Amino acid sequence: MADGAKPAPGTEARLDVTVVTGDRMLYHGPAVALTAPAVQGTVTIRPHHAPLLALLQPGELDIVHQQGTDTWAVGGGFVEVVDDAVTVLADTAERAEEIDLRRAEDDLERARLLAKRHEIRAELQAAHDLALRRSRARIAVARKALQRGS
Amino acid sequence: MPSLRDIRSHIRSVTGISQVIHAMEAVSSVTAHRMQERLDNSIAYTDSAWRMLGLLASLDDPDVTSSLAPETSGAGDRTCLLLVTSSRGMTGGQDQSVIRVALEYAQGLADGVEFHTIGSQGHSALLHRGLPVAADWSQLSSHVQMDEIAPISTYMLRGYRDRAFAQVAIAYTQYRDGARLKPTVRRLLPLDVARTPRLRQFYFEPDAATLVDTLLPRVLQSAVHLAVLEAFSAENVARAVAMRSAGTNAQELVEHLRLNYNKTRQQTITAEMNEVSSALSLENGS
Repeated sequence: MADGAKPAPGTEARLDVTVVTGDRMLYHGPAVALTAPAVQGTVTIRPHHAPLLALLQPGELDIVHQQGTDTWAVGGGFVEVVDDAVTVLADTAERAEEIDLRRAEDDLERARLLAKRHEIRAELQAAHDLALRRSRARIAVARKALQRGS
Repeated sequence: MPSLRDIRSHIRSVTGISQVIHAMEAVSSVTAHRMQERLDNSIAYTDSAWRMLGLLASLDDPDVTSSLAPETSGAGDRTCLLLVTSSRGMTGGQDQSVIRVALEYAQGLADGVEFHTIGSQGHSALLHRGLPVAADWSQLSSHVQMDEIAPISTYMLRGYRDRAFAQVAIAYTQYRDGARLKPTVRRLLPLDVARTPRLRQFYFEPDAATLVDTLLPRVLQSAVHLAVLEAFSAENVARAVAMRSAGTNAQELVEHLRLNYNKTRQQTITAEMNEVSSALSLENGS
């Protein structure tokens, strides 16, 4: 497991966190803090956070719990905070350790080359851009995990 | 009277069939069991998405309201109806029940229904009645992931927004607690959003209208995905029950045949003995 920042001793895991995609339950339990890539900027949620419903962009999701930090690459979605209960609805989510960095970089390169060679139809442009952003998020998360050493 | 060989052959074939039946019961039972976790995950996503939409709906924001309940005059009561049945059948009447409730629902609509199907039982039943099917999505298997549902839900939402339909509904067998194996037609659009009573001021990032526009397709997609997972679970449970019942029937038939076999054997022996004794008595008599 990724050895992210461990919480300071005595920090209680007072958040009740659920991270779910349509197909998988990724996290369901207590946490100390959660950091999510909201569209208006990265948001870190700690106990007593104000009620929030935010749109997420592709990026890194971190959950700090008593044993360390779990990191995911999420492709977008929503985060809701109310009364120390945090729910993340992710469009896609992968654990940092699950990502094959080499393949992710190859996929990104291939997508970029394809886009250069063939003109992308207008209605597919948005989907293409989203795919690129998700790809970059995955790579960033995977690289960071490798630096930390798993 | 069937010969001993005929009966033996009949026993062999029924025994063979009952092995297939037992295997199908086992596979269906295990599949239904394995789907439970996926159902639970989908329920967690769907319930959360509905809750978030409810939060947004409780705002008195005209942009939000118009996104949630767009103007659909001009579409009458025309409905896009997704009929979910099995493809393999052998569900002990479950597919027929869903088809029936779907047809009853369709009959009650003045402006008709655009049918979509998942599962060839439903697809065939509609075509058989001369009802056109706009699209068949039966290539989806019980392993269906939520993103595979996107083409269907996108089509439905677009049709609803473009006023091709006033309603979007799904006919399937419910499997959630409290509604096990119940053939149902559930209306998905217009949404029936329960406004969440907001006790405190919420921050909506970037803004409520953008959140609704992004959340709404996800809500619909996950609702359809959950219904399809429920239908697949229900199909496997029904098939397991039907195969259990068929297996019992096969067992009884084999026993009946064995009794027949023994009776026939006795009769054959008795007939032979009669032959021998009458041949002997003829000898002795002369």
